[in-house]
Parts: sequence; structure tokens; C-alpha cells
Amino acid sequence: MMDKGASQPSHRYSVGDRVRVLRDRPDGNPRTPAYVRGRIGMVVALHGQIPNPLDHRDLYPPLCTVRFALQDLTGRPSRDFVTADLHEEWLEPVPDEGW
Amino acid sequence: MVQLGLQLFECQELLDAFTRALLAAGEITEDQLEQRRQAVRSQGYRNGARLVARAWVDPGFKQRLLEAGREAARELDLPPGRLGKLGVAENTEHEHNVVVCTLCSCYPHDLLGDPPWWYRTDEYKQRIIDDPRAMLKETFGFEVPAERSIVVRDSTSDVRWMVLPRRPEGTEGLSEEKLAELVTLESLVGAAEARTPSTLA
Repeated sequence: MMDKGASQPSHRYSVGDRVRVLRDRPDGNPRTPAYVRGRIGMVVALHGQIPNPLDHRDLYPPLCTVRFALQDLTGRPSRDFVTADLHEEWLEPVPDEGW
Repeated sequence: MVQLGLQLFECQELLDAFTRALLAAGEITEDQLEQRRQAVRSQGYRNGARLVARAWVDPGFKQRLLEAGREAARELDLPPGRLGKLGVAENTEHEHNVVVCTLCSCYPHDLLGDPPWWYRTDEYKQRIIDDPRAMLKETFGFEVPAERSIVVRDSTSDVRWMVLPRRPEGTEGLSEEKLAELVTLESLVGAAEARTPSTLA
């Protein structure tokens, strides 16, 4: 899953980090789906900044795959997950509950 | 023109019924149908099938495919494409992956050809996020075992995801070429498992 070949210039997050998706980020990349906004997930892969000149000219901020428990999204019991690929400007750290 | 307010599973049934009717009426023959299936098989998703078959027989290649995506495709002389990064989600006994793009219809089509037709439908995009287990079962007749988690991969940015299906049981002696025949378009998206050898002609 990790792409060792991609540049990883300045990832703020590491695999295993808990993050919350911001509810809104007017100047951010618009491709953050509504159903994950405000939700807490876990970073499961780092992708760096992916050049994709056919789709966009400039580089976007570093990209993470974030995994969400489906039950946190729907409120119904489930053991399934949804991942979304989110740029770091949309994420904020969630402190470990750690005890 | 009849308006068909069909749901996805009804479309599948309608397609099956229509195909059977064409055969029964002699409009098409089994041979023609098989030829068409062969032609479709030779199209883009066969690239995906070759990647999967190689990954099944060569653990080193599998690792490179998981880590470096498109670069690994070059080893099979496949044009790797250049639409972002190829993400490969590996199915295991604990985890079944299924791919969607809820925002549009992102797919590694520069490498794998077109996704299944229903991949672009709103119904698929909504239901696979809302209740993937029921969606797979009711629409595709694919019941993921309860002990296996489903991971829905929403292709929301520059990673274009494909699924690496599990190698079916009873395929130990098969050649890489035969193994590739077990990989279907649906299994590359995660709407099915790879075929079993008993389904090979």
C-alpha cells in the first residue's frame, strides 16, 4: 500500500495516526466527500504529492488514505470500513484517548 | 419508449433475460456470444488480469505491484498509463476490498480499460458506501463471509484503485495464462471473487 517511489516531502501524519476531517475548508481541495466531513478515521497509507498533469497542473498537498469505521459513518452496527484519499489540509490530529 | 425505473439488480436480470431471449429466438448464436465474450476479454481489463495472475505466482512481483503500482506494470510490457498513482488493494482472508468513486467515476482506465457499466451509476456509488454488504449480496449475488471485513475504497483523489482478488482454491497447477482467465472485470473492482477453475471451459 505504501508507495516508496512517490515523493513524501512533508507528510504531517504517519500511518496509524487518528485524524478528524474538517467540516469545511473553503480553500482546500474540493474532492473531500461530504460523508466523511467532521468524522474521525485512521491514516492507513501515505502517498506523498502525486503529479497528475492530465487532471491538474499544480501539485496538491500530501495525500493520505484515511480509513473510517462504517458504523461511525452510518450509526448502524458494522465491522466494515470505508477509505477515502484525503489531502492533509483537510485533516487535524485527534489526541489518543490513551489509557 | 417504455420508461424502466430499474434498480441495478433488475438491470442485471433484464440483461440476462434479454440475452436468453436473443438466443432462443435465434437472433444470436452461442458461438457469436462466445466470440463476443472473447473479444471483450481481449480488451483493457485483461491487462488487470495479467497483473493479478503474475502477482499470484510471483510474490516479489506482488510486492512491487502493491508498492509501486504502475511501475510494476512495465515488467509485463503493459503501458502503465499516467493518470495519477495506481493503488492496489489486496484481498485477504480477513479483508475484502471494493472500489468506488463517489464523486465521479475515477478508475485506472488508462491501464485497465473501462470499469463495469454500473460503476458509473448513482445507485452503486450511494449503496456501496451506505451498506456494502447488502449491496454486494443483493445486486451481485456475492455474499462476503461474515468474518471478513469489507473495505470500500473511495477513489477521491489521485490514487486510482484496483482490487487484487484472492487466488481461488484448487489452482495450484494452473499456468499464469490460465490463472488470468479466472480474473473478471467485476473481480478487479471487488464486486465478485475471481472465478473458480471449474468454470473454465
